[in-house]
Amino acid sequence: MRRWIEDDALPPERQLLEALSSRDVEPPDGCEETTFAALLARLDGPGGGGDDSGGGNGGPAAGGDPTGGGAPIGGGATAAGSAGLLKTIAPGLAVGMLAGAVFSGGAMLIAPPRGTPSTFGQADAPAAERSVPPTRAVGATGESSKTTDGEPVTQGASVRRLATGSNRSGAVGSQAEAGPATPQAPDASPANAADPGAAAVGRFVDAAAPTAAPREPNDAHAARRSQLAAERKQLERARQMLGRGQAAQALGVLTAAEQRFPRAYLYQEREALAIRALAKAGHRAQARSRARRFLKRFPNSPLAAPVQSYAR
Amino acid sequence: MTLEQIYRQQFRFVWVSLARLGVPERDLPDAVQDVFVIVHRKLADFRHEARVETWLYGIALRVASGRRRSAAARRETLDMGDDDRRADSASSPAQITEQRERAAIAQAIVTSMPIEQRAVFVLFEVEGLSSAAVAERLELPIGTVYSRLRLARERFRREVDRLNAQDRFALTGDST
Repeated sequence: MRRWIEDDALPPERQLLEALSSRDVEPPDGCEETTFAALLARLDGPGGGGDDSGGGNGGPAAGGDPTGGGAPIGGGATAAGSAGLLKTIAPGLAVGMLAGAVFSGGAMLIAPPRGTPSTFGQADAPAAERSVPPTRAVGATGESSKTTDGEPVTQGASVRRLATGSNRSGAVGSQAEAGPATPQAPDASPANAADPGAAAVGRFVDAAAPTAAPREPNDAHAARRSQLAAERKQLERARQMLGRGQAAQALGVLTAAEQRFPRAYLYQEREALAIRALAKAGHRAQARSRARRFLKRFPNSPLAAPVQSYAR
Repeated sequence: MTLEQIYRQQFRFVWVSLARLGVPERDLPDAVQDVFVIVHRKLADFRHEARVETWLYGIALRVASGRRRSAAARRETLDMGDDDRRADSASSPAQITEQRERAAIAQAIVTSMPIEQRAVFVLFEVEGLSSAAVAERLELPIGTVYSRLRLARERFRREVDRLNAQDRFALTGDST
């Protein structure tokens, strides 16, 4: 029997199959190690491998003793390494849980933990600074999955959306325009190095939980609101230009925004939009390197998934 | 063989298999972990006369099948395609993006298939295995491979037809 593509597939089918076959599905660099570290953490966790998420979907291979007691992981060196690893992972997990990011109606709300300003800022710290691999580690990514789990999205409807591009803006754009509920992870750039954790929490509080906001003078509060509104306006303008295919103009707007607000509240949203604009304007190499920087810096960002496609 | 040895040898195989079966890229690290958690539990029962790839693929299939039930997983894959499609509909032709868009559509169709058909279709049509190799990988009679492949192709064709019809409707408002 011959492959369909070499046989009687029709041209549209052939095109789709060719695209699917040539899709790059190779694991990214470093992923093997981070995934292995996370795996060891799971196996060494409560119950020694008792986490059944994903494995518990029936069939003989998915069974097993949830209380653990599995096969040896590796040599003595590995076992010792994993024990050491867990010691450093635990605080990161606590940070992730405390962050308490939730998605609601397409907009992300982040309610920061009270009294933990200095640790909250680690939620989106670069991978190198965190001891927890991005998977299962931190609130933003994991929590978002929980919420979307509950949405009754049918496959038919999903395919239809792909075909017509109807009634939603793009993944990057839609998150960028999430408005006041959009989170701004603490900026780890040198420009923000002096930004204390408390300030970072203040930003989140403003976006999500006004009642928990730290006290600040009214004029500072008003200035912050005003900057946020201006940033949002610029992003919306750039997004609309992108939607009309005016990628170069969108880039101009975003560059102006960078100059005007070097320490932006909506930094991640702006950066994701800029990456997309660069790609659409044909600057693939720049888009790629900027996307990689973004992912390194914000591995748990809700925008990481759309940005990822430009990093390849 | 220890878990770590299997992991080191088969990480790429498991990753790529899960990706081809439709696990969204963002979920792949977790899905790979799910596979190896099961490997860890079942390693003592593994019959070493069987090929380890066959064993792992069976586990990967179950993990992918379970994840497909998650609305989050479906939405993830499709969001990307939707994003690109919408953006590019108004921009100049960009072959790379177009190719990615097609791949996203094709992956969505494949992911909508029942897992039994999906596995056969992916191994034969996408990964290019021979029908005998597919039968061995899935531990199926070759006749079953052919029948599942036929059903999967029919389904793929139907979905492409439906998409084309919807495109016509979207462009012209003509529902015929």
